[in-house]
Amino acid sequence: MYQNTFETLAIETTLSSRLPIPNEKWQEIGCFFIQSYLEQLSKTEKYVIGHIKGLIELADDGFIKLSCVSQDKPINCESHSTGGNIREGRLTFNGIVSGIDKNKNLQFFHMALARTCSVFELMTDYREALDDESLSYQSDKPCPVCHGHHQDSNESCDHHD
Amino acid sequence: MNDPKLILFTGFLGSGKTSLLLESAKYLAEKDKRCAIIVNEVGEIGIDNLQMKKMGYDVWEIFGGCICCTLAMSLEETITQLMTDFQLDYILIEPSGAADPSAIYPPLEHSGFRKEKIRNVFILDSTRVDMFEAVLEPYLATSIPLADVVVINKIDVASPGELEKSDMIIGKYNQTVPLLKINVNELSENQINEMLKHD
Repeated sequence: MYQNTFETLAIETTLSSRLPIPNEKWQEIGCFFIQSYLEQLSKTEKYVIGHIKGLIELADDGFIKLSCVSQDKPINCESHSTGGNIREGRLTFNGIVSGIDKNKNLQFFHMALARTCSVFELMTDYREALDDESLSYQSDKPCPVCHGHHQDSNESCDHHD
Repeated sequence: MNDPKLILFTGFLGSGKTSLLLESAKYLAEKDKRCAIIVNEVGEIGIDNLQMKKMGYDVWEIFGGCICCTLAMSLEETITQLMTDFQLDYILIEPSGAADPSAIYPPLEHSGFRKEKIRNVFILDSTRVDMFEAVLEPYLATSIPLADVVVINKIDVASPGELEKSDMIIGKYNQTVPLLKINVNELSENQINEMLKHD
């Protein structure tokens, strides 16, 4: 019914730290990341949140579930952890939102992740993945060299030679 | 004879379907009931199924679309397979929060579950009634009349105005449906029984 209106951005990535991180800190990291993503979303005018979800799987079989349905409501954070100090967490993210295109959503995710990694000194294996849609989005932008529009983002203009 | 009860946990995205399903599964397992869980998520990478598996449940996932349209056949096949392989007391199904509940009934009927054999638990997030009213009216109009029980969730964080509006919205589309007002984190045994009971 609303599966076309509310598009899902689903991403998996690993977050790692040089030093072990206690469970409470992983919860703080998860909430900070979701909050940063919400702040990015709020820059868009007409968006509606369906559901923002995150799951951080920790190496000791514990996990932290994050859930949010509105920027005005607190982020729900459930921890099922043995409480050990863990250096690595596997983040699965689902952002189900309407009113923004997938590429924009991907950018918001990217910026929230970059900010989280910077604040908490984490590393991530996430590499920005651009799908076909986002490539065409890219080619809609004028080329910075010739200011023309290339059909294919890999296509180079004469000025590049 | 394999004659499980089928519980559908319907409701919009983020209303608390997974939490309620997990509480129900935990309660039923404590009563030595054999349950199967079927989850459908719209994303390519599911989180709810991952959480359920981490909590020790066997979950049958239906991915890559929505069971109300493109994946109706997968739902039928999954139920048929479950009924062949296991003796079950309950099948708990969580369709995607973006699904149209009315479109889930035909594949269920093909699998041997007529409407009267299905318990449709519709969950309403009372903290988002204003948004529902503004942009999701067609969803409410389709979903609420089909409900066998309506669960108004998140009453611990909703304002009195939001709770009043939740009552009003339910009454607008279904005046006879039983109502349960809950905080899913503090669910009582009576509330679970009320929610799951088949007439």
